[in-house]
Amino acid sequence: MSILVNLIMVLICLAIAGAIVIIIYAWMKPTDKTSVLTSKRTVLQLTSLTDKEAVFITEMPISNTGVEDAAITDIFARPYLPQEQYKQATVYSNVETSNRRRNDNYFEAFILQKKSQVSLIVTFRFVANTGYDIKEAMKNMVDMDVAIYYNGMARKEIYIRKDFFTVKSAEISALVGGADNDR
Amino acid sequence: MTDKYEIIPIRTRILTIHDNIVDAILEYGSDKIGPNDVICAAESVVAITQGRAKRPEDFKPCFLAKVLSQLFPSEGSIAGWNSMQSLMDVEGKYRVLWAVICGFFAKCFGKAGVFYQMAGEQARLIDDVTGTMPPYDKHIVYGPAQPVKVAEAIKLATGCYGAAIADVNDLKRSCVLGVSAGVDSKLVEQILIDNPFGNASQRTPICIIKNYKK
Repeated sequence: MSILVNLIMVLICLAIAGAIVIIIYAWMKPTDKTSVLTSKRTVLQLTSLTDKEAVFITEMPISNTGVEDAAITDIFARPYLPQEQYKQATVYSNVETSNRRRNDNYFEAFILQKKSQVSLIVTFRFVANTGYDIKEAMKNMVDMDVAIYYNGMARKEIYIRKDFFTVKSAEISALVGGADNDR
Repeated sequence: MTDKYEIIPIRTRILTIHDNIVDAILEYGSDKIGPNDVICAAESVVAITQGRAKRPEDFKPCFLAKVLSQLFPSEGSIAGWNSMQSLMDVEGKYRVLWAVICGFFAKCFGKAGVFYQMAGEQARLIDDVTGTMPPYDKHIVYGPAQPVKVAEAIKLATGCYGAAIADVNDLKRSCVLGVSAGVDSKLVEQILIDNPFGNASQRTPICIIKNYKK
């Protein structure tokens, strides 16, 4: 009888020990390590210019240096260009992945595999406000901070993170001048 | 097997939670359906029209979901906190726990797949985010509810010989989840093996097996 009791006790102890090991394993398990590498962004390019509108793009990678794949469900760019600072044009932005470009302003969720990166294309469309010409407006452009928000999840919690970069006024004014010379 | 039957894929708009699968079949395929035909509908689209696409943010992962999800391969559809919770919500967390324990011991003795047999049908059917086409790429999509009842409703509404709800992919995996009376699910699985539904962007979630009843 005592052998049976001892056996049951051993099994219970093993089950508890096993559960503790699994819980610790689950908690310690590394997950993704995703970030937008804004420091690696390419120089701004002017893609179109009219009297009312100027469109620029820049590329930068979103990287996952972690050991788990991440599902990136949304990314968007938020340019910080308040009218208190600059009122000659209004800026709109869009983010796409370079391997899955779309023209509908929809961001399609994708798997960012472990130890990999995907190139993001960030588009800024400046529209001249009433009474302004876009070329003149761009020449007076100020430095503009931009936040890239990304919503993702790996095998643990859902996260929303943001990384920042600055579009320098000199970049924009130089491009608009250069493009104007070509047209 | 596919060669013996003519299969007509039916192109539709993107069907959403606001659609009804029977109405969609009538809208897009009624002129092609005959009395000897079997209509097949893709399971994920049936599920979506039943409102079974949920945002991962809608789930509140419990302690058990956080622990058990980490025991599955990362490529699987229940390997994350939220997707594991989605399974527990429909199948019960203690059933899932018991299936994990049995699955573990079965695997120790070389038998794979026990977890999926014991954890309920949804363990095999749940699609995690990115598993479905936009706008449901950001959702966790369950398998359809009551597929037999849906198949019967399609048959009744269209006057065809029968209907089937199927889960088919390009990797030669064909699984029929429910059929109306008189339809052989194994035969339909064989007929659909080459995935006439195509990929998601082809938007052909319905297909008609012509003259199934010879």
